[in-house]
Amino acid sequence: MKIIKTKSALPGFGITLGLSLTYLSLLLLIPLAALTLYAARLSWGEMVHILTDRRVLSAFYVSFVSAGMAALIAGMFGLVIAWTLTRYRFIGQRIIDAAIDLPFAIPTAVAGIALAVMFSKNGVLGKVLTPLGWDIALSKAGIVIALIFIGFPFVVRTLQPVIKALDKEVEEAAVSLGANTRQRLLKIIFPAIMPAWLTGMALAFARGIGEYATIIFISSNMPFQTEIVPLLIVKKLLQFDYTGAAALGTMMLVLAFILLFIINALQSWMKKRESST
Amino acid sequence: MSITIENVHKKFGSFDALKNINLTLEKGALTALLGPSGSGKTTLLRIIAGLEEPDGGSVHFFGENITRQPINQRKVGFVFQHYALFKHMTIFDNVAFGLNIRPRATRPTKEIIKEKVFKLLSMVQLESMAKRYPSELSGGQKQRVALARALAVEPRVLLLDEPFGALDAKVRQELRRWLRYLHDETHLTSVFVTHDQEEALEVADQIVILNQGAVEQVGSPEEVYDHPINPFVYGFMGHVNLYHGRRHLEETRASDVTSASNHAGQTQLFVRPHDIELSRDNPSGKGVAAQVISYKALGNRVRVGLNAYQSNETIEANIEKKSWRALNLELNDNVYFTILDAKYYNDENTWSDYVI
Repeated sequence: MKIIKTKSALPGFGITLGLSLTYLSLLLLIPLAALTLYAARLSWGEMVHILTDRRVLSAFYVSFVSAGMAALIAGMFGLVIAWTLTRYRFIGQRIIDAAIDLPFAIPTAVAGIALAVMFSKNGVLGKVLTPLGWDIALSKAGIVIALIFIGFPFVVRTLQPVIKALDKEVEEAAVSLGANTRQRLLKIIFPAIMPAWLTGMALAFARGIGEYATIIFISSNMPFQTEIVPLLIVKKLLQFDYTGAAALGTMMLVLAFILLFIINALQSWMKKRESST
Repeated sequence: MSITIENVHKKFGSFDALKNINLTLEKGALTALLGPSGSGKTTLLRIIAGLEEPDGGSVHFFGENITRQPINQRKVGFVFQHYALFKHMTIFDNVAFGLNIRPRATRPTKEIIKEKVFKLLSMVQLESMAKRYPSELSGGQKQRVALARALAVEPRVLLLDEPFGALDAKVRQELRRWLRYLHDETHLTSVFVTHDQEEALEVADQIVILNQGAVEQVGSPEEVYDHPINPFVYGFMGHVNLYHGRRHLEETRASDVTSASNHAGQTQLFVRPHDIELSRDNPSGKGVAAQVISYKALGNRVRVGLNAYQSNETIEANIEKKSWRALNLELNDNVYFTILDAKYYNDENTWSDYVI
């Protein structure tokens, strides 16, 4: 302990570190270790067999492609919203700003039902879109829309502080050197907000892969078409295939760690750049 | 006659930032816009640059009216107080930015850009830093990069907004001398904003003193220091003692003017602290009796606070440490002070030398 503790004038290090470690162990490490150990009952061959099952692969495909598309679209919308909210002053701004957090606040099942109702054949938007051949509810597009809804607050909230901190003088310097609006955007503003933008999209992506409740209401949940990994895990559990579920869960865990690593790398890149004033 | 400003005025809300400014800045000169905060000096500089639009009036560069021209077409180099470097670019790319963004038709080749950037970097003594990022540089180095970046586009006019304001005293000194040296080499028409009169006196060819959005005086450093046009300029150019004395020139002995009993023809004298001499025994007979109420050594000079017995006025003297040591004074000791030089501002709004 002595080695990692640097002297602080404020007391409480011992007890707070103790509590943090207890929390981490009880709520994170022990359950995750249990999951991994459970999956470890399987041999490598069995593991590969479960994970390369066509239905499993297609579930991973649906999960990743829809989460990826949703992250990209949420990235676009999120950028515009964050820009509008930080760069301009207008009536109702605070209300819109507060509303960004709604997807965080409302239960995801409620959001899923609301979206499903809206896009169903008799829904407000479904009425218009279904005759045009756009069957959003029950299709992959529905999954993407649900994930955009869930993901865009991550983009907005990571971008806002960075856009706010953009130095007006840096832009003025670029213009004084002859830059036009396009060059100012592409060469000055864009590179400055890039790390935050990528971080926001990565967060939205990670959230999208794990999302369950919103999607099962709007999607038709058909195997090989609109079945996502979390749903497949639940189905395996319902069929008492605990080891199969554990194998999928462990795979998701590995992917989550990889994403976490990428997000952290992006954030440290961002911090390194911010430290230079 | 390179920069002409005619009737420029600017309001921020109901606040008059600039009130009808008329100014001509000489070609090839280094001009200081000097004034206290809120005097409008930065606003004026930003209007010259095109970063701010005046409410009325016009700005001319070399006879051409550029009032409505956007900044990216004016060919001005602008240096900010907080450097405003592009953090995500190397030092090389920062300096090359203005050349790299030119449309293909007027953009120099890569080789020419490289040669030019390295020439500028060697001029600011930062060649070895070309591949570094701004975060790895000190404040003084960053400001030199900012200057090189501004010069890379070969501006017609170089504008600097409190360029040394964020630097520590020693670096500040160095950069000031270096800016002067640079200007003597290039003779680029330059304007810099400062609130530090010492900086303006040391660096500039011409000083424009602004106060509350209006020009108070324009002149060479000697002119504004030795012949300030009004009490504001006098006070702004250095420490000042206000001392009450009589104005009758035939009775000009300092010992007389201190007799506060005679109010007739009394006037306010402006005296610089270093124009006061101290002695223990008043050999000339012109000295005024006072008490030492404070003293503080500042480098090789000593600032002495005095209280004149008769008029009960507080005077500040600034004398050499050598003479202070020779006087061997302590707090509350009695001393005589003699005013070597003083001015007064008379009813006709002109200055007169007070003959001692």
